[in-house]
Amino acid sequence: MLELKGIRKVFNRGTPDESVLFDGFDLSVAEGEFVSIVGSNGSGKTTLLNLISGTVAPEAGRIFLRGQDVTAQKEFVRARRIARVFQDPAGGMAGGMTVAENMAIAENKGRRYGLSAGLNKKRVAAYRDLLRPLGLGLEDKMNVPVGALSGGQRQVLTLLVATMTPVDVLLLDEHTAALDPKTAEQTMALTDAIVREKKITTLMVTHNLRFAAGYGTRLCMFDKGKIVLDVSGEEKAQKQVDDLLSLFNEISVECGN
Amino acid sequence: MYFLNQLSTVLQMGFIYAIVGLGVYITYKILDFPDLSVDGTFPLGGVVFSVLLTAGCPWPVAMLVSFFAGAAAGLVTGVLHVKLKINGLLAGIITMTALVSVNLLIAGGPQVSFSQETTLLNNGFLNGLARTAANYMQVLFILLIVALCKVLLDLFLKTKSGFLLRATGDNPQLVTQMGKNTDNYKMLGLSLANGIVALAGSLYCQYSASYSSNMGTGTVVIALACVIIGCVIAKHIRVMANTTGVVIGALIYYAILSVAMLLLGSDYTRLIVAVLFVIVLLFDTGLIGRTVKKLFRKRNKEDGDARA
Repeated sequence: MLELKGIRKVFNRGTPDESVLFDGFDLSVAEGEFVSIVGSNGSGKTTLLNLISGTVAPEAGRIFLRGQDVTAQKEFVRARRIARVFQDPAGGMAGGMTVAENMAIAENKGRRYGLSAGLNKKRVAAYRDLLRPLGLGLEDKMNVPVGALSGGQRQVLTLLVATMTPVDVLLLDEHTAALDPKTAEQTMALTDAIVREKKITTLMVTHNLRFAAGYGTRLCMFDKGKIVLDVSGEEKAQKQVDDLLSLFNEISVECGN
Repeated sequence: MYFLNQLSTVLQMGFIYAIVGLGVYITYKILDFPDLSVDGTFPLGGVVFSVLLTAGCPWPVAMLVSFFAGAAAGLVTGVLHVKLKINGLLAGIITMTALVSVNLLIAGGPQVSFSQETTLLNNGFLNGLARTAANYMQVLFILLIVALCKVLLDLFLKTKSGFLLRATGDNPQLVTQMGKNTDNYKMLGLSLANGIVALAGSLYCQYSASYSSNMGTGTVVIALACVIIGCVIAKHIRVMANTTGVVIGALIYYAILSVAMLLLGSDYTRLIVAVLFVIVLLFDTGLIGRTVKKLFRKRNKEDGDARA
């Protein structure tokens, strides 16, 4: 479904600070897999998501989405098949526009943005029904600018909105990191519910080892651009947070931290 | 009578600059793009209109053509910025500078005058009225164009395409996520904005029944001041749309400018424009509001101390 082959990614190329992050990196994700990715800072987790979404281009290697080579495709073209939620709650929405307007934009993804009315009463009612089950009170805030919502409300909304239209891949970039523990927990549970219900192939970068162990069907641990642990199914189910933590500490010690 | 005539001038000029303000509102507020090409597209609209009119073209057609001329110039700024990756401010300055020559070439000289031609603001109907009545009828005609621009802009901003234009200025990442190229929306916004500005330029020439090459100087500063005043007003009045605020802001700005010009003389015009702009900016940042508050608090405190 999603395949990265022989990826090479270098930062600060041609300067004394040149550093090779990925060299001959391969990753293959099957249809419907929910991959949790953990690793220390600078291990290449976010860069991986950036490579997949097209925000940065690899120096070498190819990226395939459902068998189609998308390496040369621009970010906005690739985005038609990819949804992404960022760590920063302000990242995925227009803060100055209302909840309803943001939802209307998202719902139209993949279609033409022409001169027909952006919103109508019927759609707003439909959006309200979509928000009501969340229990966050968002259904009463249809005309409130998204920027005025709390970080948790925004992140949940971003998640919901990103998956309103069918996409091939969902990329979650530490999407619970900026939230308080309780809200993070709720957001994570909602994420799991959405991914299961819509059967979306998902890559989730997280620093929360408990989320990584508890959710998803596959777990990858990154270190300096390499996958040092890759488990799925039964094997993953047996991995406890403590196992991950000790491996994580081992890597960090190797780094000299 | 003198006051009435002065007031009609303020309303006429205020409404003309309200249209410029509506254009600049698109770039400055919606796209968050400091577009300086306006200083060139305002006279561009004027010169295109004037030359077409003197060549025998009916005024509504000439106005429409001037809109498209401005839109084309705006597109140039857009292409310079998004395709050639030139800094936004510089892209505007480049277009503005180039337009000085373009405008001169179109006009064939520094001046075009057409006091005998029929226009929106000079026709048989208006000439049949008394002078003051004719002035206010002109105000009404300009207001109709303002209303047309405002309503159409408001409607556009509520369409799907308008939503994405707003999102482009608000959070370009969102537009990218929707699989759309933000470049196209920046160019669309710049085109539309400069088209509206050029339309205002054509009205300005109809108002003075002539085109003069220096009519564009300072347009950006005046328009930005109108937009900033307007948005501050609209922010404090919940039911008021930003575009309505811009129109009212333009009237307020032009009223203050007229009073200052009456007191100091027209040699000071640009200086007054500049100083007024600084004051407006200071109001916008809240610096003046805070200082005034602080002064009052201090005085109250001193009063209290004296009493004690």
